[in-house]
Amino acid sequence: MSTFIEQLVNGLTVGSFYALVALGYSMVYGVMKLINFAHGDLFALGAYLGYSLLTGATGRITASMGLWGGMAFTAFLVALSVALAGVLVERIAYRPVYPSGRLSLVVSALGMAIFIQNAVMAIWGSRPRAFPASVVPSLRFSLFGIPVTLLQVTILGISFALMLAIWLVVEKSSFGAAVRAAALDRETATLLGIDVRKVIFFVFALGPGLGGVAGLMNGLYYRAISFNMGWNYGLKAFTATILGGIGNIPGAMLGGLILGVVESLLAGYVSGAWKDVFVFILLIAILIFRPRGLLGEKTAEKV
Amino acid sequence: MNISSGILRRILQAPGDPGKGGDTRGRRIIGIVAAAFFMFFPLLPFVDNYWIDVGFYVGIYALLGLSLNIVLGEVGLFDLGHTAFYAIGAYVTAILNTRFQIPILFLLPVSAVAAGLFAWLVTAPVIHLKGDYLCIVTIGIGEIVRLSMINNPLGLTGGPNGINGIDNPRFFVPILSSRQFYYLLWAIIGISAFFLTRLQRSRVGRAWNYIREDETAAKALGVNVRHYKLSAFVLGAALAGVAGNIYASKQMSISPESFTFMESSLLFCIVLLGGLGSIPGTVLGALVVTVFPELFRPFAKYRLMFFGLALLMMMIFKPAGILPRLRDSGDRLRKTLEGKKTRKSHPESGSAQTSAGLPESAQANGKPLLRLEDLDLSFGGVTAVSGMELEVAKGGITALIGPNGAGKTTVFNIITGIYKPMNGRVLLRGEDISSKLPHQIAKAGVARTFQNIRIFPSLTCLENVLCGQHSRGRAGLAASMLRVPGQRDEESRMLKKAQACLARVGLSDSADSLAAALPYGKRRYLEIARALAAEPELIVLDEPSSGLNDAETTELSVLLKSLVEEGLSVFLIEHDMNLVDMVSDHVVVMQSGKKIAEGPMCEMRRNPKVIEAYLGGEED
Repeated sequence: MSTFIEQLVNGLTVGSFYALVALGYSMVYGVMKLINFAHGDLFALGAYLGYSLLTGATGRITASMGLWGGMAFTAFLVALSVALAGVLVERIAYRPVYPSGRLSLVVSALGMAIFIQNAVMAIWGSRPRAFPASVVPSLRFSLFGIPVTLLQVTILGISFALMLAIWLVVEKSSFGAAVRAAALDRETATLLGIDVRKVIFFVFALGPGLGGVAGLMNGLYYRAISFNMGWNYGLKAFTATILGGIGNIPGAMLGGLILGVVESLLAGYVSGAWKDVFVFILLIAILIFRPRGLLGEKTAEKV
Repeated sequence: MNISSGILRRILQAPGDPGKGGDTRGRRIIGIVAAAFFMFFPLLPFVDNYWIDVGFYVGIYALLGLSLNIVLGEVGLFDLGHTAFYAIGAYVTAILNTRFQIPILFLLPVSAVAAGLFAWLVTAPVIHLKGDYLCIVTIGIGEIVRLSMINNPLGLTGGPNGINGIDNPRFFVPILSSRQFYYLLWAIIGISAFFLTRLQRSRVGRAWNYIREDETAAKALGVNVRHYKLSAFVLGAALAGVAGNIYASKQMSISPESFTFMESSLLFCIVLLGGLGSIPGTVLGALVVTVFPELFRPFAKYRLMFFGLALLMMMIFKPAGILPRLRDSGDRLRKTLEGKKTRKSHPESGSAQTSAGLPESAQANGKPLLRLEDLDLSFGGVTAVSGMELEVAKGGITALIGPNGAGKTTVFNIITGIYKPMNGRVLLRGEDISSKLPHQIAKAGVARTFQNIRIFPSLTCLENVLCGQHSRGRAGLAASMLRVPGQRDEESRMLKKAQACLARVGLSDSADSLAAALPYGKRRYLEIARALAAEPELIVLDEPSSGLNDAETTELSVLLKSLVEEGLSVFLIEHDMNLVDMVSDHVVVMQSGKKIAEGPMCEMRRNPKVIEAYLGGEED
């Protein structure tokens, strides 16, 4: 039972990374009908930026702002820079190619992914880097009888706060309504006076911003980061997106958490080596039996 | 210098002119030059083994590119896990060779069959998925295969280190040197390209292209979409399996590292870089993708970064690829069929006539040709059609009218099998066709056009119309590749028929133009010609006059009447009441998914229910 609880908490933590990255995929797909293949690498970029800030500058930041203030400031900086990178990706790789159709978009997205991944490698090197140990004090304690670490609680707390904020923005604000409208039917949304360019800017800033924070937290959690980690996380997060229903915001969060938990339980009880194989079989099974995902809505083919 | 740049310009610019198929002569010259280059490259004085090996890897990517081109280029299926099939070929070769000492070249067909079979097994359950969804599944398949190889199931794959000690092939003499490998591989590429070119100019290749251009139109005109998608995957995978076999024997060892997602995305880029569906383009794409990083080797750290940027730039400035596929003109197609010896094919007296292959007898024997019984269909609680019934008489024009949203197009979609009704039956000549698939219904004699024109934009008009003939032919993969006599006869019959149908609607002059270049009104006629080419008994037209001016509409009414005179039955949805008045024998009025009245048009104009349907109730 205690392994089960441990795997569950671990799964939720990993799942919250997936959920944050999945949000980016889902929002971009909703509005652009495009799989942003560079998104996973933006996640990796977030991890590396966090690494540099923590090893380089944060000594000073934490000294002047305290541990938590310093961490929050680091996270803010990472989110801001990766959001900027996301907006640049859209400007450079997608906007000019949009009129040429889906296939060209896939290639330019792949090209961008290759570029970012190799730029990260060129800057930080091809060997894995290690986050400084115990940035967050390695405290273990029991929460309602469940053994957790302070780091896990921090990560889960930040992730859920971010997800709640996004959910409120997208579901409750009028700008969120514009985003949902653009996702439903871009043309009609334009006709109704919604500035779709603003919506696109929003999803390409927010999605990668969240992904960047997830990258930072992932680095804190596992400590080792490598330049090509983005691809694997990206694919998992995309699986989570499909699981929840592509284009559906609460679906992406749910999908990420479920995937993280399923994966941890598979690793704990079945086989660590085969868990990724199971995840991809799960992905294919969802697409065969419930392509709209858990929360997605069914749409009729228009002829 | 001047000459070559002139040729180059012609080659690169030809496709920029959307009207015509393009400059094939310039292409042929460059093709011969390129073939000569590949043939003599290893013999050039300054080329050492290192560069011959680079040439070999260009070949591996060319072969893989050609194999992916079948799936992605010809059929337009986003396959981002193609490396899986390559891996299966390589591993089958490695395992069988190292364990049972089976000779490599004997394993070549075995690898092809294994990879093809694997492709069939894994894609058959998912082939119905659209666009991005299929793309994700193929990524998943690629990862599953790679991870399985790492996990060393049953000790077969050797885990992360892979398999060592694979033999060299033996073709009379052992093939050992870089040069021998180079020639073996490029000979295989030459043979593959030869057969693939034949496929492109056949019923099979065109069917693939129809699916890529517009899947719905393709199936409504008789293409068995599922069958052709699967056949593309199987053939593409088999070719990738061949590449895996040669790769394994050249390397003498393989490991999962060679079969990553990065490889799959590289292949994807090769096909798009060269030009979708273009065989010479794919080879050129492979050349660029392999040699580019070699040239930037001094900047090792940055070369893939540059490569990513280059891909981006390419898609921004030349999204159609370097050497886009040129479509064949009608003359070219005919010449291919005639071959070197001008075969005297006796034009069969029947098909040489201009008539668009109409049923022999048009006697109105009282029985309705088409009968709908009690049809129900709703989408997520919204009722589109309920309790709908109607009859279409043989040899006449029946019109279906009604206000927007009445469910008229839904009725058409049910008739043609695009939607399945929840209840009720569709009887064609008394036979229930409601459970048949669209391509079977087309074959049974119902051809249609679409409300929002669905032509195949990047194919020529002639190729568009040939789609109609698809269901009247039989030639499959093998017959088309070997070009057996029966296939040639069938092709020339289809060609004649298609030309007759184009002439019928007055589009003979545009036969070799791309359909995308046609003005709007002509596109409607192209759709009608395509439907006529299916040799239907019933032609179903969804708002044929929409977007036409008055003169064009009058022309249309003349065409429709003459079709009926030749024995065809017409069923149309129309909003232009003048046209309905001019041509229709019988009118059915629909509202809110139900039939509310029927009879001759003059009666319908006076029918209070019909007036209310169009003008709205007074109580409202």
